[in-house]
Amino acid sequence: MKSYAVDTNTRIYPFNDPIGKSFILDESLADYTGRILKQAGREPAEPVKNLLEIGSEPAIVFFDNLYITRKTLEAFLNKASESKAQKAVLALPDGPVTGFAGPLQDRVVEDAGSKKIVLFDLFMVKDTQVDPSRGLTEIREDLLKGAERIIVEPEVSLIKAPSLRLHGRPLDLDIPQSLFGAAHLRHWVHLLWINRQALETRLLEMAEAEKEEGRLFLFGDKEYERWSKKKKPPVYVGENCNIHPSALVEDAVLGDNVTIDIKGLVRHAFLGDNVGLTAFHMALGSVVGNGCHTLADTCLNQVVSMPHSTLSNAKLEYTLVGSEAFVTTGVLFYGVGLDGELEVQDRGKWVKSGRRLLGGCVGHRCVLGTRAIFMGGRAVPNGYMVVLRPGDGIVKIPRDVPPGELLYNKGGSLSMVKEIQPPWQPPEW
Amino acid sequence: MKAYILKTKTSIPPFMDDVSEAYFVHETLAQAQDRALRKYGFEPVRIEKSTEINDDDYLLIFDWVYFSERAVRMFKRVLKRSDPGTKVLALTKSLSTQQPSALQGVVEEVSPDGEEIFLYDFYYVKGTKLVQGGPGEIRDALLADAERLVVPKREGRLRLRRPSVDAGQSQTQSFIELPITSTVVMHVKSWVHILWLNSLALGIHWMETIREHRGWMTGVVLRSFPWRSRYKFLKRMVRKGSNCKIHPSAYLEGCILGDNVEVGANATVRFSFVGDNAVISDGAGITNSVIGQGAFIREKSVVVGSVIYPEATIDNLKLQVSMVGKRSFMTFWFNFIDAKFEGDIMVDVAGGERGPVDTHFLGSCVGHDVVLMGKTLVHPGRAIPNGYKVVMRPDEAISEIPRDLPERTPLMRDERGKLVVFPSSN
Repeated sequence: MKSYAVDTNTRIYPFNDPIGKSFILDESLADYTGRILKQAGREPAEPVKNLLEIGSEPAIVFFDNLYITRKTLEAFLNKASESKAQKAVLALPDGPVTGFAGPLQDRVVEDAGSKKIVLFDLFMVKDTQVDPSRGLTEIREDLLKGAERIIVEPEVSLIKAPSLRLHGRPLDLDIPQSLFGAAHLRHWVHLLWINRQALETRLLEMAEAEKEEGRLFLFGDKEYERWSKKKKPPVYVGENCNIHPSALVEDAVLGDNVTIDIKGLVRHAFLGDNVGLTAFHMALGSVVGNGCHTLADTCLNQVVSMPHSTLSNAKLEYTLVGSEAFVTTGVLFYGVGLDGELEVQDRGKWVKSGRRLLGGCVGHRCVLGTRAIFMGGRAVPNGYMVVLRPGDGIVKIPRDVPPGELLYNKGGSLSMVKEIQPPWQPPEW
Repeated sequence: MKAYILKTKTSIPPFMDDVSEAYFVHETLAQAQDRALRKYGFEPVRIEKSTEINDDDYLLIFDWVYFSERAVRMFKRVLKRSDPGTKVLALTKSLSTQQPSALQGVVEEVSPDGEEIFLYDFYYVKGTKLVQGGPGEIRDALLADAERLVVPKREGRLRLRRPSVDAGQSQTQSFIELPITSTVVMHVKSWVHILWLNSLALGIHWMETIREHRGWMTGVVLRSFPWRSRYKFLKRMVRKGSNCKIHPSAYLEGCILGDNVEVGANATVRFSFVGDNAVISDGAGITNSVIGQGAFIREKSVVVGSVIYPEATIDNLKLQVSMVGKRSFMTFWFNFIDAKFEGDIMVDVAGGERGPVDTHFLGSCVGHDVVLMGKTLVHPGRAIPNGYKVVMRPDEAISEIPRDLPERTPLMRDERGKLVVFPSSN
């Protein structure tokens, strides 16, 4: 049975890449989907623009912006093959696995007895009757109509990552740990959230593979193993990695040629090939793409960075960074919703993101200089270079200031406080 | 013997809590007073007016007075050896009494021996009829008759390097000294007094803990043999409550943790007191601070010499010599300027007054239920009232990002928070 990926023409702003190039840990979405199809014993999917190209043979059909885990795919294919229905569609119960990246997905949610199920654009079609004049939305409707809902029940546990408390009330983030998952990717928030979810899935997959096939992966530095007397969470380390003895790495996947310098802290993180983390770096719940580099004392918390970016931020949180971008120390995404969910732009409108904690999105090749402060939920288009406003930084420093004078920044020049007009000073001066 | 604690109806700004609710290492001032008095056989009774007292001899303490257990013990001891009559508790001038003396309203005198002493509103009354009136009148009447009873104390000093404030200042002036003593009496009339009281907790609380757990302390000393490294000893000077989750990479030194405390990876907690259910996240650093019950210190936050009330959330690059009230929230880039290079730092005192404090280094005080967000700086000595929400000026953050600006061209925020092309003339 062949597989077909329907071209949805989805391009995620601000990146505007073809959806197949979307970033999932260390692969593009297209490569990732091809890999899991192969692991499920299927041939790679052929891209199609409409269902006419599929013909009348039974086929697996999915929309090319679908993210799905291998376990979910296998479970669906097994159950759908046994089904006698002409069409079958993947359904997952509405819960943590589908809900974590759920907002803005245009989900179809239905009642199924006592629970709700979410339908995803993955179908097994045994007899396609297609009207060539119908658009994508109609194609989906046609496929869903009469299709048997194949419900895949996920096993899931939750990591409670305490993220914030407002007025004493916790806004904890529940991150699902499961081999199952699916999402329609159409917004940058989905890339941010799905990568986080995919990280947990990858850790579970690697643990499972190790159990089945014997010890495949190297654990961390021997000295680190001796140092911790308790059984520590696993670390999967690629070839030729260089981890400083003072660094702490837990629950992480490291690619090849990764360098972690002195006092680095990496927990629940994915580091791609050739990533360099310099001194005192912290990577918590983050995905750092191939070839990324961080400068000293950078802290990334729930950040996803695409390949070849340079990150130098004192604390960057809940943010998606494109490839070849440069984010400096003082960049801030004002990402806390004081009174409710933060909003993002979607299809020309501001809509609720479903989150009270959300940073922003930095496009490919952006350079964000100091004092680039953004409201939460903003997306910076590709190639933007944001610099300091004239006058915000001191440019001119006079040489003839009497000793002991208090100076301040006046429009980019150092000036004496006593010359402020009209005169002003704090009450107690 | 009864110890009458006179309610003075003093509220401490910005919290506006009654002074009896002032926070001292996980208990209120009232609880600390009751504990210290009961330990040495006094029965605390709270009164609104002096006319409620019917005893012949008793202790009379104004409710704004903090006193440690040892202070009560030594006062009682000296009282037994003294002549009959009304007494007032006095302490000699030293680092622990002088440094926080500003704004306390203590009376300074010179004793007959020529020593400078401070008089506190802690009296033993016998044979003196109390006047009816406010605290000031009662005090004046008592001081007119009372013998000054100087309570002996021992005091050590911890020398810490501090930034040189004045150009040309000599090296000897580039240190501050922290007093280490368990004999402490203080009037609490301002948030700075609560802050300083908690900074003295290192001496007070540890001495009290060691006295109560002598066997444990003996074990610490013995296990630290051969005593060549003070860090080995300090690392053992840690008391943890039940069910604490401490990451193996966290470093604890000279601290006391309550129950259910979580300390994350690479976090450090030194010479601090952490209340029940508090969370110290990965990479956070706590030094010389009191972290209240249920407080949440986020990743990479640094808290030095500060008091964090229960259930507050701190997500701050560096919070020094400051206080944060209950359930308040401070974000990463919201900073308190904690040094003043010229002139005095002024702070609010109970009763609506303001006065200078004798230090160049002081942050600010955040009330209860306050939210502080954005890149903002606050001058030293400020108090942010309860319930305030401070955010950035809307135009100081980029809120509008046009989609059609050129790539690889310098852009900047305009006065209305919109990204525009950087003017080429600059």
